[in-house]
Amino acid sequence: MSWELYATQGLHGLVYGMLLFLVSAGLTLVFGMMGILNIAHAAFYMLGAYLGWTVVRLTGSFWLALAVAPLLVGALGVLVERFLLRRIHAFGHAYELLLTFGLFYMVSEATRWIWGSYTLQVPMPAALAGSVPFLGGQYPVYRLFILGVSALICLGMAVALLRTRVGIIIRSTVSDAQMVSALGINTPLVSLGVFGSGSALAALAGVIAAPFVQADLSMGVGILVDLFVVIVIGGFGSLLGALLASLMIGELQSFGILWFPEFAMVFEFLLMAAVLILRPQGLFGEQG
Amino acid sequence: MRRSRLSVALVAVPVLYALPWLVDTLRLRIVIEILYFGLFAVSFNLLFGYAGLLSFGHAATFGVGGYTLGLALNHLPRLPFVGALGLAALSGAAAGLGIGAFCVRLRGTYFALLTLAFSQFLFAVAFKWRAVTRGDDGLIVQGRDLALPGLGALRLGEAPGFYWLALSVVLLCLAAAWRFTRTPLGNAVVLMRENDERAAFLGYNVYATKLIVFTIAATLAAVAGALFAAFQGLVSPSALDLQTSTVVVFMAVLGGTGTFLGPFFGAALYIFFQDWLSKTTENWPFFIGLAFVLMILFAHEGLTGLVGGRGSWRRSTGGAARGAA
Repeated sequence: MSWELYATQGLHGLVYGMLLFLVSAGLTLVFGMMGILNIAHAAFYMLGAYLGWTVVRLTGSFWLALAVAPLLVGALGVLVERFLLRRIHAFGHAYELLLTFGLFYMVSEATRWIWGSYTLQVPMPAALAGSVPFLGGQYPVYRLFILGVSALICLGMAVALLRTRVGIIIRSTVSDAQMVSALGINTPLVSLGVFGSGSALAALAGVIAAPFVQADLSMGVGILVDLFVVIVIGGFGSLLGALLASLMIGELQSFGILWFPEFAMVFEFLLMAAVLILRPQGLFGEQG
Repeated sequence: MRRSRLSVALVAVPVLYALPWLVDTLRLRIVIEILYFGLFAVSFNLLFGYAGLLSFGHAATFGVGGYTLGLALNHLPRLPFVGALGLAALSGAAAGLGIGAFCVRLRGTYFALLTLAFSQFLFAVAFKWRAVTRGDDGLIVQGRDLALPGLGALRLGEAPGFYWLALSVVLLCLAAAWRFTRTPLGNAVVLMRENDERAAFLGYNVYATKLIVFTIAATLAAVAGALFAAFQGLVSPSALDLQTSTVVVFMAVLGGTGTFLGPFFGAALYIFFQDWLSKTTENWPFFIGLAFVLMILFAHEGLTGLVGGRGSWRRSTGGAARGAA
């Protein structure tokens, strides 16, 4: 096998890894902050893709979809946090986990109900439809667009979290919510904001992914599995961990399909099981 | 209270055994389904409600039991049916011991994810190992009659015969599980659910105790899975997929995780509800999900919690410990 093929495959993995990071960023912050692994997050990603399809169909504008779908799903996320999760907080984490599990199931079934069981084709914006020469072959522009957008968001998030006051509050809340609350900061509001923006980000990733993977009912379960693995490997509430784990999973899938097409799925779970058994706090996490 | 419970049993058990004369075959088949799913849900709740361990991969040993029974009946022609059932229980115990050895070290979300990982791994094995499991075509299970010494044979191919077998096996398993929760070891499990650091400090072996509960739950799930496979005459990888693990969570929460029999009633309710809903709307899974979410929001102790079931596990341990959990 030539090195060009490896490079192309590596780039494929990078594209999927960055997409995965867009989805896992919100999930990991919420998990770190509130201790809730929001399973419905995967359904928000799928919902983003379907809403994107509807907006493109109604208005013909992909760019509008890129704005509308995240707003709607972000609002849904805010409602879920404020009126459902907060309500049952007192029952303990197991019930919060079960609630998001039920919501995942509900949103997936509602999607089937509203949009049907067929795969929906989301057209690429004309400006991004072609391909460019790459290492003697051709590489689709749209994948490079995914890479560019997610890198931009990643950079923006890094700046916001490391350099702004809100970012400092968010990071402190992840590490010790009680202490931050004692300092007079409205931590429930911080959680609400992070939950909402995380959901919006998942939907944004869904819209971006739609022309590339097509809106499909298996999107939710598909990414859910990858998200679990990312969260476990990345570690409790660690964004850097989530980024590295996402890229790792992207490459693992990309080359796994190349070398062991039969066992790509098993690989991921074995990796997750190994990390859970040997290093339950994750590769980059600080605590158990 | 003990006496009233005994008298209820004295009335209920004969009625249960007389059921094939009271209802038609179609309904009897639904009752059989309730029996093995009920046992499955109770076994799930031994982990969740009783030991505080939420498993997202409880279908793993359900499937192991089903496949073991199928393989035993297909490849060991001289083995009586009860022997195949015993083998299924044994394989479930072995799988539970093996999986539990890794899982029970973890708590909360991490425990749920690791159980899920193991069940997905077994799913992949069942899916890919075509030579043994026939992959996603499913393994056809050859039926066999149950020889009763001195009484002839119980025909398991017919609904009443299978019903009597399933009822006896399920009652036996439930009684054994109930008895276990009343032992000192069983009480220690509740202590660990509420505070396992304190339990360890008091000298209990937390790891071994949780592993025993995990193994018992796995064994019962395997028996349920074996009954499922024998009744359907077919076992496919879907017996151990995420959907099956989801269904058992729904059943247990619907019925109530705070009592021993709550999940059993939850299974009955789920099956009737699904039967009715699927005739009414083709979007029935949405309403199942909705019912589940509403249940958690407004009655997280389930229907038996709503009614105020006697001997609730949570209530008996008092409010102070619950606040700490």
